[in-house]
Amino acid sequence: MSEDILVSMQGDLNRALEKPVNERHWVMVIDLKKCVGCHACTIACVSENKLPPGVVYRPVLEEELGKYPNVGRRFVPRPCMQCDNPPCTPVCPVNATWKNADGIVVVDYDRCIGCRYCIVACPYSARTSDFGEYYTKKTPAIQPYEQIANFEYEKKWERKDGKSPIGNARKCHYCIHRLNVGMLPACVTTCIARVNYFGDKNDPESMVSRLIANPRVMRLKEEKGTNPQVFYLL
Amino acid sequence: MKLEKPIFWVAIIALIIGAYGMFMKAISGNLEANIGSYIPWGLGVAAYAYFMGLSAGSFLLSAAAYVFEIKSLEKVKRLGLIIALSTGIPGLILVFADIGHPFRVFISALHLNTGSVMGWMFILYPLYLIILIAMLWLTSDESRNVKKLAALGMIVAVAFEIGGGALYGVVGARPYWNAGILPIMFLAAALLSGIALVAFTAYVLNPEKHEYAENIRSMGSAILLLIVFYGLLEFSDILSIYYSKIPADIASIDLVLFGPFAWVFWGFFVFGSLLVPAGLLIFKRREAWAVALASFFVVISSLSVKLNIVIPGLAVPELAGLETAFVHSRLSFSYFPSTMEWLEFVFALALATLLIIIGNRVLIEKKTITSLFKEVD
Repeated sequence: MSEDILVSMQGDLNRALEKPVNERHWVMVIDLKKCVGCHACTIACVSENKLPPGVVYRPVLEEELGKYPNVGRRFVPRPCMQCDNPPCTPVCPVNATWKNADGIVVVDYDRCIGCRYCIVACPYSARTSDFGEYYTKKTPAIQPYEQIANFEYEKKWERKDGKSPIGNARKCHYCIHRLNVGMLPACVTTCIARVNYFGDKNDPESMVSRLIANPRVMRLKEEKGTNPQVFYLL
Repeated sequence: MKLEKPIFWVAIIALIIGAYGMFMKAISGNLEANIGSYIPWGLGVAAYAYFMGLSAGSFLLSAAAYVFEIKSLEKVKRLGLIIALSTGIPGLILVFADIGHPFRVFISALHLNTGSVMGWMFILYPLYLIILIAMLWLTSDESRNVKKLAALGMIVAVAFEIGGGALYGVVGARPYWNAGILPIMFLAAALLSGIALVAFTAYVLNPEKHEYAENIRSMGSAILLLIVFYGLLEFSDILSIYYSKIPADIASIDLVLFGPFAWVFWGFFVFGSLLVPAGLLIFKRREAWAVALASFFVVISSLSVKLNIVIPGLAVPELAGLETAFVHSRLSFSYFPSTMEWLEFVFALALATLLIIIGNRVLIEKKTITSLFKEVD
C-alpha cells in the first residue's frame, strides 16, 4: 500500500526544516480535479488563525461551467500566492510587509499602519483588512471564544481594545507558526480529498518539486509576471 | 449681498453635525464605514484626494503669482495661501482618520519606504505644510521676498499632487488605474478645482470690490482653459481603455459610464464640472458673478472626479467568484458611503469653509475672529 500523501509531505517538511531558512522555498500545489468544494480548508484556516468576520485567507472560488445537460462545477481554492515578485510589498509606505527568505510573504502587524494600499495592489485579492468585527457583536456580550489569542507569526495576538491585528492587513502565511514547529498548514491537513500538496521547492525529492514539473500545472494570472508560488493541477 | 455670514453660520452647524461622524470614527475606527476588503478605499480616501487637490491647486496659483509677479492675481495671492492651508488640513485629517492605526504613523515612518509612492507622501506633506505656513507668515509683510520659497513650494505641491495620481497609476493590479496619464490628470484637476475655489471665495468674500473683480475675471480664463484640458485628459483616458475592447479592462469604465452610479459621471462630472461652467465662462466671462458661479460648480462637482477614480477601480472583482466564495458585508464589490463617512466629509467641508473665512478675516482683513459674531451686514 502506498504511503498517505500527508505522511510523505510530513517527511518533506521535516527534511526542509533541517536546512537553513534561506535554503527552503515553500510552495503549494492544489489539485483542482480532486477538490469537491467542501470549504473545509477555509474553515480550518478561520479556526487556526481565529479569523474574525470579513477576514478570509483561503476562500474557495466556485464557477459553473457549460450548459445543460453538459454542466460542471469548478472549485478553486485561493490562498495567498506568495508571489516571488509580490506587487503588495513594495507599495507599503513603512516596509511592514516583505517576502521572507523561505518564500512566504509576511506582515509585521506591529508596524502596519492599516492604510490598505497592499490590499489594493494584490492582483488576487488575497489580502483582507481586519475591521474589528465580531460574530457576536449584536448579542448581549462578545463571546470569549472570539477574543482568545491567535499565534500568527509565532506571536500571541490577543483580540481586544482595537489592538493588532485589528486595523491591519491580513493574509495567508502558510501557517508559518505551524511550519516552524514541524506541522503542515491547517488547510493541508484538513482537506478531505488530499487536494493540497505542500513542501520545499528546493528539495528535488519533495512531492511538490515533482508535481510542479507536471504539464497539467498552471498558475493564476501568470502573464502578470508576479511568479505565484501556488500551483494548480488541472 | 455678502454671503460670508450665512455661509459662516451654516458651516458652524455643519461642523457640529459632522463632528458626530468624527467622534464615531475616533471610538470605532472604520467599523461604521461601509468600506471592506474588496473596496478598501471609499469616500474618505476620495475626499482626501479632493481636498489635497484643492489645496495644491490654490497654492500653485498663489505661488505662481509670487514667483512670476503676476499683477492680475495681486489681490488674491495671499487668499490662495489661506485656502491652500484651509483645505490641506481637512484633507490630511480625513486620510489620518481613514487608516487603521493612525497614531502608529509617527513611529512606523521611521521605517519609511521611499520605493513606495505613499511613502513619499510622508515626506512631501509635512514639507508642504511647513512651506505653506512659512509663506503665510512671511507674506504678512509685503516687503519680504518669498520668491525662492514659493518656487520650492511649487515643486513640492506638484510632486505630491502628481504623486497622488501615481499612487493609483502604479497599481498594475487595476487596469482602470494603471495609466501614465493619471498623475497628469490629478495635477490638472488640482489646478482646475484649486483656482476655481480661489475665484469663488474671492467673489463671495468681496462681492462689491472692483479690484477683486478683475482678478476673478482673469482666473475665469484660466478655469475655462483647464476645463477643456481636463476634459481632454479624462476622455482620452476613458476612450483609450474603452477601445481596447478587453472586457476585464473596460469593466470599470462600464461601471463609470453605465453602472448604478453613472449619474455621478454624467450629472456631476460632465454637466457640473465641464458643460455648465464652460457654458457660463464662454458666454459670460466678463462678469465676475458668472465666473464665481462657474467656479462653484467646478469646486462642488470635482469630488465626482476623485470618486470616479477611486471606487470603480476597486469595484470590479479581480477573480471570478470572489464575492460568493466567502460571504460577508466586508467582502462585497458594491459600495455606498455610510452615514459616518458622509458626516466625516461634512466635517471636513465645514472645517475648510470656517478656516477660509476666519483666515481671510484675521490675516487679510486684519480683524479679530469675534468680529464675525458682532458685525451687522
